[in-house]
Amino acid sequence: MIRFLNHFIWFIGLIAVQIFVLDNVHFLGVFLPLIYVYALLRWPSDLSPNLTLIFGFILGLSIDIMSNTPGMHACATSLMAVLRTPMMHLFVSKEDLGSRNVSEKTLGIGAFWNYAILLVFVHHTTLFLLESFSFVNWTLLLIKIPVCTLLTVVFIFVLERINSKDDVKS
Amino acid sequence: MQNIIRFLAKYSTFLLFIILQSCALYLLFNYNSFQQSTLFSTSNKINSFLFTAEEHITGYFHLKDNNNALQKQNIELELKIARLESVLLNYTDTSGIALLRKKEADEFSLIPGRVIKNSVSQLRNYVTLNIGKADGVLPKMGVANAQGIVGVVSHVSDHFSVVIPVLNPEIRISCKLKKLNASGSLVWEGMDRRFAYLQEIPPYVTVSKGDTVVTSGYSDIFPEGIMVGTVDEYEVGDDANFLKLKVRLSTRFDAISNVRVIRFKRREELKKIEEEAEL
Repeated sequence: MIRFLNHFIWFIGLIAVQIFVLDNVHFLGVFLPLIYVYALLRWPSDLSPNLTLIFGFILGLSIDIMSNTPGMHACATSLMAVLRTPMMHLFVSKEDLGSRNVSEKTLGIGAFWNYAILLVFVHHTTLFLLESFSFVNWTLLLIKIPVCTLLTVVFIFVLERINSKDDVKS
Repeated sequence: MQNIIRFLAKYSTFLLFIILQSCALYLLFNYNSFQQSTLFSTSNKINSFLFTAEEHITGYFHLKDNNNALQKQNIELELKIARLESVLLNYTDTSGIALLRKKEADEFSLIPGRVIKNSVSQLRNYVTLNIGKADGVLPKMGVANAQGIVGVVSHVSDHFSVVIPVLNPEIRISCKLKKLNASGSLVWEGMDRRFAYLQEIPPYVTVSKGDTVVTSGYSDIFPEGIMVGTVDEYEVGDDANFLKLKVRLSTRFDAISNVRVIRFKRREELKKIEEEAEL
């Protein structure tokens, strides 16, 4: 129950930070980190794929509702959610996973960052493709996807530090 | 049933993904004006391409109807022009001709028809039209098209009529030289579909090549002034009392398609009084 509450608070908190802070700060005018995906990344590894998918959809939809882009984030996050479990199994065997929150500690540093960067990259690619919806500005698109992925990963790194302290406390 | 449930259970994540993704895309295309317009314009392009292709094919199916409609409209406009011209003449011409012209527009009406059978290379040629008694066509009515005279109706059934064209030696049409007002009768002597002969022209007139030949209006078949052709050559006739003119016909008989039958409105009345006179 406490674990669920913890996830719920992170869920709400990340959305709030994303909408009220980060969406107003565009680095160099175009680049913005999308840290809300971290909520999805750190869900327990044994969360059923269907539930992951539904929560992922809700996460994306919440962002959509707040930032007035119906469907765009929901589409990207649900794709990310469906790829989450297979991606996890790609780097860590099923037996080693257990039922813990996914983090640097539980997955191991290398596996976690591979997993995180790949999923963030998939998410950002989908999102920016849907956003531009044409290849007219393909050069911008080509720069935007890796740069934003990098920014998001940097933010996740920071959040991971906070989280590890959090884990120690609890 | 069990299999279906097992199948659904096995692929539940994938199915759920598809459903959620559809929802997301539905929202995306319905509530985001840019994506909507991009999708719309793309599908519009595809649609317009397909419909253009379809139009290219099906357009031909309606050509006949369109043609008929256009022809009807054309006739209406022509009649309108005739009426307007006659009104105009009232204001510009004071010699009394105006009155006659106006009467003419009232005296004749035109029935549109289409040629369904035509011959030009026989000794006696005939033309069949797709209009008949039901449309108001009667024997001995004149037939003309936009280029000039075609012939005279000879036989009529309910929905068809046979026309004896100029290219048939059985018919003589009263014509005149427009410039000189000298009249004669037009006869075809066979062979060349482009030429006919205007006979019985008095020898004192000075004809020159290129003079216009029109109908004389001396009968109830054709009104005065319908184009027949132009003078191509002239020669002294067989008995030397008359000139014989070779006329280049303005109507291209091998390509007639849309024609009008000219109905003289007071035909019955005229016939009656002529019969009385003969008595």
